Amino acid sequence: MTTALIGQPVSRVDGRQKVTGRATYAAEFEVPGLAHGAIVRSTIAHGRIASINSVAAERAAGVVAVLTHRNAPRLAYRPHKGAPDPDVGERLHMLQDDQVNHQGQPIALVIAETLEQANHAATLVRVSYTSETGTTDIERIEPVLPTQKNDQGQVRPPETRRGDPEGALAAAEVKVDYTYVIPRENHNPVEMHATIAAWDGDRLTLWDKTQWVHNVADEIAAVFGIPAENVRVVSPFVGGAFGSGLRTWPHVTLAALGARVARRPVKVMLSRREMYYGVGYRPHTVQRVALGASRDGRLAALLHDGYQETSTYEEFSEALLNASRFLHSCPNVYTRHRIARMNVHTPTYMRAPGEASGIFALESAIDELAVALGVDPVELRLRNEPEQDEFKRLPFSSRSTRECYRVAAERFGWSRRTAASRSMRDGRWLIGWGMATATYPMNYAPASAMARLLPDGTAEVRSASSDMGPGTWTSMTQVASDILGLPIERVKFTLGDTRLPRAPVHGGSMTMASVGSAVQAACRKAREDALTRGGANDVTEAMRRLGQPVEASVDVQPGDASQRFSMHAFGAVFAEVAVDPDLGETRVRRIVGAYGAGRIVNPKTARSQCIGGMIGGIGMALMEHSVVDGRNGRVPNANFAEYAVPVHADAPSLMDVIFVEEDDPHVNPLGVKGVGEIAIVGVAPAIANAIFHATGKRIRELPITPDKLL
Amino acid sequence: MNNIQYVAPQSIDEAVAAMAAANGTGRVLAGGTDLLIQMRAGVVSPGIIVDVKKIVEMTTIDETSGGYRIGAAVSGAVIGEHARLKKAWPGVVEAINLIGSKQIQGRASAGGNLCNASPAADSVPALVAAGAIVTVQGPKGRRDVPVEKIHAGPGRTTLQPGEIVVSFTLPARPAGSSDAYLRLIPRTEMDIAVVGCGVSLTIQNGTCTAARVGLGAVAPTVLLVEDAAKALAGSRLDDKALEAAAAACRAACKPINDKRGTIAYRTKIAGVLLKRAAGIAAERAGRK
Repeated sequence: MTTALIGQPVSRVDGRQKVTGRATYAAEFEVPGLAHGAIVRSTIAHGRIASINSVAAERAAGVVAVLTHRNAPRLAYRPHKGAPDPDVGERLHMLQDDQVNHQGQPIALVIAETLEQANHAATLVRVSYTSETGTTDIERIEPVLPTQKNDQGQVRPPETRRGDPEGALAAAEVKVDYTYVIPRENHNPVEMHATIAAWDGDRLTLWDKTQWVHNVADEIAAVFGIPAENVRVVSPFVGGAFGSGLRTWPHVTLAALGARVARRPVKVMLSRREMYYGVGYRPHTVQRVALGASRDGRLAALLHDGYQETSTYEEFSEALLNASRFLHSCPNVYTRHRIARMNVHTPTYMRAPGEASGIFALESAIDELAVALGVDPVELRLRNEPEQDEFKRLPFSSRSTRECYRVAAERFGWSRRTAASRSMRDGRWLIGWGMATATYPMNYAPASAMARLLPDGTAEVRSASSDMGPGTWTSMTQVASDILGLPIERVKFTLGDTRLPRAPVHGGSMTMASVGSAVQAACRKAREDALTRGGANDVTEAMRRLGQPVEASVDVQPGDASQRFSMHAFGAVFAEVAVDPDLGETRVRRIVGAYGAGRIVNPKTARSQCIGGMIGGIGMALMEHSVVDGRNGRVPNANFAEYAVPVHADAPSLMDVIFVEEDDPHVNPLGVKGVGEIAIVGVAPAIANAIFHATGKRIRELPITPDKLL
Repeated sequence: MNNIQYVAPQSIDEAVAAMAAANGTGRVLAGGTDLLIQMRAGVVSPGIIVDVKKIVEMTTIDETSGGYRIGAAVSGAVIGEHARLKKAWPGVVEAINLIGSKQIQGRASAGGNLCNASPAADSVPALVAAGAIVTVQGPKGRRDVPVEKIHAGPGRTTLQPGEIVVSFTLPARPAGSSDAYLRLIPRTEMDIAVVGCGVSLTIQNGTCTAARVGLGAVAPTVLLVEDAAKALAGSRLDDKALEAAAAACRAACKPINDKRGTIAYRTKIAGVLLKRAAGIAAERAGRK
């Protein structure tokens, strides 16, 4: 019997806890004897600490200890590379030497009885520096090819080529060739990062905001030279992250270090301002896209050459160019990825890392080509719809682009669009309709789960995953209930603790595929076991007869499907904007997105994901910009007054999300592709293309602020 | 830690005495929506905080023979719910109500917005256009100052040591008068003005008989643009007059380039907002 809970719009099982304040976030755990840590940060971008005087800070009221590179314990810093860490380079070692590598680098930790005392004493630490030359100005730096081999010795080709792209471009009847710029953006989750660290001998507990508890344990164990099993990480709720919680950042190490020296628990919580100096960001990117096509709109050449900022100590690379190699059919394709090494802290993955930025450039360029050809943008894409992944030379496991274009265009009313720019109006407002294609890979990583059935007909299901907002608590409960045939309120799913079975990083839209498949398998195994041993055909009756718990643990592994198929989610995003021709103000009025993302476990939370992605895309298109001072790497708008993100009033009243039917037997046992990242992909180019349609102005540098439209 | 004293006097005399005794280290607390943020950021570290929310004169609105006296610490939310004030001075009220979110509106005051002395302060161009008179009290007694004389530069005022802004007085004015405030912000709500423009005018028999124009975020201080007012006054607010007033606004601009807008953009927008705000004020004034 199945209750068919998979596919139902179940409300969040943790919703009541969240809205009543009973969900406990990292900074909120009550740990007896807690002291507070405040981080002193460098005020230069590159150089050495010439002197650091903490006498006044040490004497300040309530201060327990002041740690600097001069008195901090030497730490083991054993090699450790988790999946979210850059392939090349080494993380900064906290308080181990006098080197300053970026503006805002932690250079001291003040521990005091109260947060206010710690913050005040932190202002009393006197530092002088010997500055060294460096650069924080991406406009003044020549990008270079990344290191060819990563730290594991694998070769990472920075260039790919098929056919004769340069020749085909030169010979093309119609071409467009432009450069697109996206500035640095910060994740800006509502919840600031925080860590509470408490030692018991050589065992450590960390209450942390993270998207991967096991990686925090592994890294902190490596830093302190202790076994990973000595570190317990607890992270049941995450107030948004968008990628900022993937890596284990310096403040986590500092909390653990502070707690060890102070011999009592220490909490370190970042301020909003510190969030711009310590938990990564979407890197500034510069991308040239050149397209050549025949008069009838067949792509003949595609060149995509992009670079992004990274730090001097780590080479972060994101998948800027991946989609250009397979999204549209083209025989002659060249891609090149480069990096700009600067005295900044290392960027990191931010929602749809690479795809969000790369597809902005690609889909803007496709729109420019459609205009140059005089072909409808949807029609142009249909004419270049590939039969297979032309880069990997593999069939797609499923690809619903045609259906997405059709359904979204119909819902949007695209056929009523008049092609010429500035041809649609509403009173004084210029109206523009634009669209873009979206894609994001289906990622599936090894995961484990445990299911335990109890005689009273309830079940406990566990996996050390995370839920930064998509609804993992809920969707996993649904999968378990569905497989076990138990009502949802009789299944208790738990995540966010290293004591639970290991899960992969909660990122890359892979949680439903990976953890979901593990939960499914564990519940199947437990159910079969219970039915066999209990001699009944329903779990409740079987468990009543058995009178003792039944437990099943499983590890799931991706098979060889990725050798046989190219596996991605695809989508189409349509946007309507209104632009005030006298003020240059843009208002996004409608967004319609259709997605082929495999099976949708919970259409309600999936829709919420997509709406969140659309609003995030509005921010990317129109507002978000972490300004970097080219002289010193400071971010002058490191606060919510001056870093604009969309507010509720910016959200269009109509955001329509459609999941097209897609039955993909190849991707993973659950048949899901994930929607967390694709939700933001394509939104910014759809808006930029709509703004071109409204105004006739092509803006190739985000964000599209009003001054760029006058 | 720094010792910060806090007092909440019942009278202005006591508040002024506390400010005077503080020797320049006193800060007035009304809603705290600027002061507390600046303290946290380490921008200011007051010796004494003088909370003025217990002073009746500073927290009430009175009607005075056709005009209004608004206590400097009255919150935006209270102002927004004052039906007659809203009818008489819709531009002033909408400008004050644009400061921050609903929650901020429950705390923030026009007096605080003025004394924070941001060139982008939303309430100030509307108050300048309204011809508001500011009552200031200090160790040397009371004085009345036109609102446009309070700002001296970004974050700086002409207030003397120990002086407190007590209230704003909006004058009585003839039938056929109204006002409007418009600002340009990069998003739909909750943002800092790139340009703000307040227009107050009187229309009789289709002719604009009096006008005042205030411009924000286009110079180190909020500007009273007298040339724009002259272009409007005596006209029937026809396109030529509006364009002349817009040109006067553009000419008055001395903006900076920053993340929110360029010099060229701000200058151009000042003219556009003038025309639109004048149109709204005229509609409200009952232009036939």
